[in-house]
Amino acid sequence: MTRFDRIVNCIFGILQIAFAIVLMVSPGRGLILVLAAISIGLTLTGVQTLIYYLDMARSMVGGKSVLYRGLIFLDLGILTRSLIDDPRIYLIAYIGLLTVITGMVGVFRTYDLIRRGAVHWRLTAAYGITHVIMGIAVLVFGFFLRLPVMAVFAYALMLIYSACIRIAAVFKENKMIYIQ
Amino acid sequence: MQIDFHYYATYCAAVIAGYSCRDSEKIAWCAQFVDRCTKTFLDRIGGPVSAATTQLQLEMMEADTSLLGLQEITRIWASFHFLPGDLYAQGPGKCSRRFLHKYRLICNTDSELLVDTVELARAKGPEAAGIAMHVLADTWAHRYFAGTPSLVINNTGYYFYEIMREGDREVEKAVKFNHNPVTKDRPDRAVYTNTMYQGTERSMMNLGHGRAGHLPDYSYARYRYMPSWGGYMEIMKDNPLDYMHAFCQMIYALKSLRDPDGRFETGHYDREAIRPWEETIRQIFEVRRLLDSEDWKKLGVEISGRALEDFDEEKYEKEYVEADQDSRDDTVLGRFIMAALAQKSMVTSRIFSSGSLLAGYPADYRFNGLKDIRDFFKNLIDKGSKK
Repeated sequence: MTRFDRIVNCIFGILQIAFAIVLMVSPGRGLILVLAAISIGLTLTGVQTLIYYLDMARSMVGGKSVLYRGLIFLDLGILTRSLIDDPRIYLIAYIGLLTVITGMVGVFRTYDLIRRGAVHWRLTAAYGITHVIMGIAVLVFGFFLRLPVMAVFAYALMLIYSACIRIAAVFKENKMIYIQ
Repeated sequence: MQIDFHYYATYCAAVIAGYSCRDSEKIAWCAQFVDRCTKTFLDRIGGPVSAATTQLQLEMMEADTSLLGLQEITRIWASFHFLPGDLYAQGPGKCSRRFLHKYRLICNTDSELLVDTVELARAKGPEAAGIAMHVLADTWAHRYFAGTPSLVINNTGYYFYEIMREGDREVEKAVKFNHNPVTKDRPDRAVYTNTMYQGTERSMMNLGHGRAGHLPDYSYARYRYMPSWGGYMEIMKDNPLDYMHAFCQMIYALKSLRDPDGRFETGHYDREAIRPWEETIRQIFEVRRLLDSEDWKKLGVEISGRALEDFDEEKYEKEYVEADQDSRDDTVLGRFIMAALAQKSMVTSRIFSSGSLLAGYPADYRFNGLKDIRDFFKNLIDKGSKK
């Protein structure tokens, strides 16, 4: 992680904590704000990835994966935006599912890290497992038990935890191969 | 390449080329020192930090991959370790300008820039010759990779096979890469360490041959893989053959540098000069092990009649630190620094002239009001003009 990455991660961590506080104070409005932020983030990532594909990655072996990644991000961004006007229960279900998927990616990533003999996998594992558990909690509270406020609180807690992991990663030691 | 080739083999090449043992030692020391001269080291001895010829692990970890940071990284790695093969190459089919600029930084052998590198070292003593030999040798080991962080150029995929001998027959094994820097490479099992896949173009993980691990640095390695820049073209790399070319070309280049009327040309390899030791050298290249220093050391004794002392990074440090400011440039380290600055400036200038800003602005641009590498002004141009 470069110094610039560390600063960006720190800022993102603080923003996540701020969002979590907004969610706890005003669960209704806060949820829409979070969705709007997720939508903007996903759309911008999608557009940026597509531009990178058109400009550079289309000439690269395996560059199509960059195109698919860009399209998926863009799709998710647009889908998230369209959900802002939907009933709150669907918003919660969507956020819960998104959190579970993020957590699953973390779990698979951990498996891959262990398989490849990496030393530092515990932080990724903790990140993945917590996201899966909290995502399920959001879905159970919001979708099945019909307790949306509890679901929002669970999501806010997960955000705080995620922010702490992000900030902790800033201080994590990097390993790199020395090219001679 | 590693210390075995840059230090011990370069010493042998210099002796065969006709240099005295003393000068050969200096050439070999400077060739190896290119892999040690970091910003941190220069800062410690009070030298100009822009003369850095490599980066420490820590420096790379902390490297800023903004535009200016990337330019600094590219200046170092393209100038000394991944000399671009063709700065005016046309690229594979239709591609964007940004892709083309990175594509043109792909390192290859026998380039015009190599001629400029060797000619730049002419009449500048063993220090400049040592730097040129490092650059020349690395063009053979690092060909097909670029000295700038780039996913679209330097990435390698799962299609990576090593060709090795098992008994009397040749077999192919899929190379297994892991990302744990603590584990040692296992040539017997084709297990190597490489950098982790990072989907971002500018990640330091995508610098040079990081994605192929140390494989290009091992003289025994024969492998085939699919580079990300080649439009699904397969590359077969035969290191024993390439390293032999590198050794013979070094002898030819060093001989040409000794000749006052000489001129280095590409495509010449002095095979005749190595004839008495050809089989021994071939065997050194073929043995599957991570470092061949001991064998090269023995060969050095056989060729020169003298044992080359082990590489000592601090050998010339005291002389430089204790010299006063005016006479520093006349020390071994001082001449090394000046030669390194000249090489970096020359390569940056050539990259800039090809229309690319990936290595930044050359030092000459101060006359046009642009500011770039301040140390260049103080050390290279100002001192040069004083002289």
